[in-house]
Amino acid sequence: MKNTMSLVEDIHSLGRITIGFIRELGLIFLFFLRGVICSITPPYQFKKILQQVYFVGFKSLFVIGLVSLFTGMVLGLQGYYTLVKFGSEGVLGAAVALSIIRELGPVLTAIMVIGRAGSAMAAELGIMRITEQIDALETMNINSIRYLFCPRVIASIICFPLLTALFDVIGILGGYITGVLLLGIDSGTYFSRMENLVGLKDVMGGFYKSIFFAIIVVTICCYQGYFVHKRKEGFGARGVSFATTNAVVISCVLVLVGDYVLTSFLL
Amino acid sequence: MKVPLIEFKDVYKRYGDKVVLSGVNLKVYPGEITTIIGKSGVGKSVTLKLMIGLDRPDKGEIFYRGEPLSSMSKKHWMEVKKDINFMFQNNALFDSLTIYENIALPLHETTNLSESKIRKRVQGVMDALEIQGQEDKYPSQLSGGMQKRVALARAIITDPKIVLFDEPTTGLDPIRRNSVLSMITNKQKEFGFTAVLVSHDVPHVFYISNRIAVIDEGKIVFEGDPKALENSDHPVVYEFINSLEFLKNEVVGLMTKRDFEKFFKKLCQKGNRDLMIVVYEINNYNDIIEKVGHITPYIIFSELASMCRNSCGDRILGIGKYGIDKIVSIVDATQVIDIDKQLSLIARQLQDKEFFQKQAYTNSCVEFAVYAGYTNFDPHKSLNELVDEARRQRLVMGRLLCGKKRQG
Repeated sequence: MKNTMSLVEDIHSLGRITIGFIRELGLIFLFFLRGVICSITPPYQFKKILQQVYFVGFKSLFVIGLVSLFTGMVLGLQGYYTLVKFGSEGVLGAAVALSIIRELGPVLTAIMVIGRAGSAMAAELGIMRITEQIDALETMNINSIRYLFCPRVIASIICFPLLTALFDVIGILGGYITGVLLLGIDSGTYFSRMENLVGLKDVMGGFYKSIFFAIIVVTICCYQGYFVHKRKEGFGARGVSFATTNAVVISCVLVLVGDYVLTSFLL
Repeated sequence: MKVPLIEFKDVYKRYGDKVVLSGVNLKVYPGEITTIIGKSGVGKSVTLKLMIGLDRPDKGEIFYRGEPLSSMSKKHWMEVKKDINFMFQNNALFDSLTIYENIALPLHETTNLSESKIRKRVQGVMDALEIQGQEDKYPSQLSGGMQKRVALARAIITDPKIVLFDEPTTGLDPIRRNSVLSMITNKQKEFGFTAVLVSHDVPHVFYISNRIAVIDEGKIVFEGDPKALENSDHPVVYEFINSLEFLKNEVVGLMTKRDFEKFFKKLCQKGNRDLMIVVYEINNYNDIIEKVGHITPYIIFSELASMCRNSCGDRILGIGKYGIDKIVSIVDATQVIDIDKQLSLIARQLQDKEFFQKQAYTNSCVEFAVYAGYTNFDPHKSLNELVDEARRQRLVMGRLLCGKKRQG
């Protein structure tokens, strides 16, 4: 009898967790939906979108450039020593390009932007919430989602594909540095194989992924900050700290999970 | 009859298990300053947040110009909301925007005014509130009082018909507090908005308010003008009005007059006759307050209270203030052998105190004396009668004579 009761209790708690999770997903989706509605209806906020493009895009250039360069270089190095065993080092350019364009470009760009801009968004909105700045917007008849979330999501949709493209180009150059300049593969072979094997489908796949990641990352990060006052784990500065950590962890996990799902559809 | 601009009818609000408002009825009239006072955590700020729609009541109805908010369309509510603005307790200024951007934000976001018109309007309000020259600073670079003015500027920039102030003077020093209160009342007169204030600044807010509402345990326990408030005998209202007196009494361990009367009634019900009433009194009290200050009489009462306790020990049953210039104590008379002897002991101790030395009064010396009288307790007489009886046979405990030798 006791075992049955404990089993029922376990099922109950599992149910509660599942319902809580689904409810949370629903709330995130509604938050995103409100953002979409505000984004496509006037007044449009070009100035604020530009400011966010500067913050999310321009300010991430250096870090994306650095990460992509070394990712390409490592791929060139590892790829060369693997391919040379099969005597196929000539396809190094194509291997580096495909890995970066299809997977590493969008994923690593998203993860780097989460660390640099996503955490900042969660913290900024969280602080605005706990210091009643978001309430102040509402009392002034300013739609806080339009004012805070929309410019960020639009700017990210603009910036993520561009940053991913930059990542791809610099990554391929990184592979060129190790493969061609350091390990002596022929430059023409490096690029001609790449041209033969990389198609527009691969590039577009990476492009779709980057847009999908932009939406996920900004929605999660802004949602965590915007609703920091509803957290049960902690209020005030502690709440903001939890929100920022959660924003980074959940976005990263969702980017990787989403990458797998999208890849399986795109292949 | 005046129609209220905002009216709460039987409004209930709870957060989780905590009931914050339980049947609030409140009226706010146009063109007036209405102040809501109450202890911390009784739902004053929640009332304001319900007024501006940051939250919704669980039960009951809020009316705006007689129209219920619950049945208002969203579009209409947005129109209504344009008339209301809110000044937050902690100002809620946008810390990453400059002062100019903060004040101009509602105009930038909700109007189609040109930049030059916005700048002119912001400049006008900044001049009126004497914060000109601070445009390019950030909120954290301003003092607390200045931040309040910026918050007020932002609240009135859109010419709202109603401005809600959530504890606008909390955390300010007395000088800044007074300047914020006078600023609110002056600007209210100048711009003609209806103001609703939540404040703890009693009695200061009484001077600027047309109506006062006292909230306690989720209900409005008093609503009326400041004059009616002073005459109200509701315990919470009484406690608020006499908060300074309460503090002074609590510090020296004296009961308030109200508490002392309750205590006296309890003793009367018991019918105990072996008690004695001792009354201590300072004469010329008002002159001391006027010319010397509030601290000297406070010190005298404090010393008297501690001497009474020391001399009577366990035999003292209760001691409290009775009026502004008297202390009354009730002493167990069964063991008291000679009350005169005890009073003369207190008198000797009193005369050595600094407040009876004329050298202590360098600026202005006011002659005064401390008297004491006593009478037997009689449960059939009122406390007032017994105090009068005791006063009829009073003795001088100490006297300050300015320019002359003091006498015992």
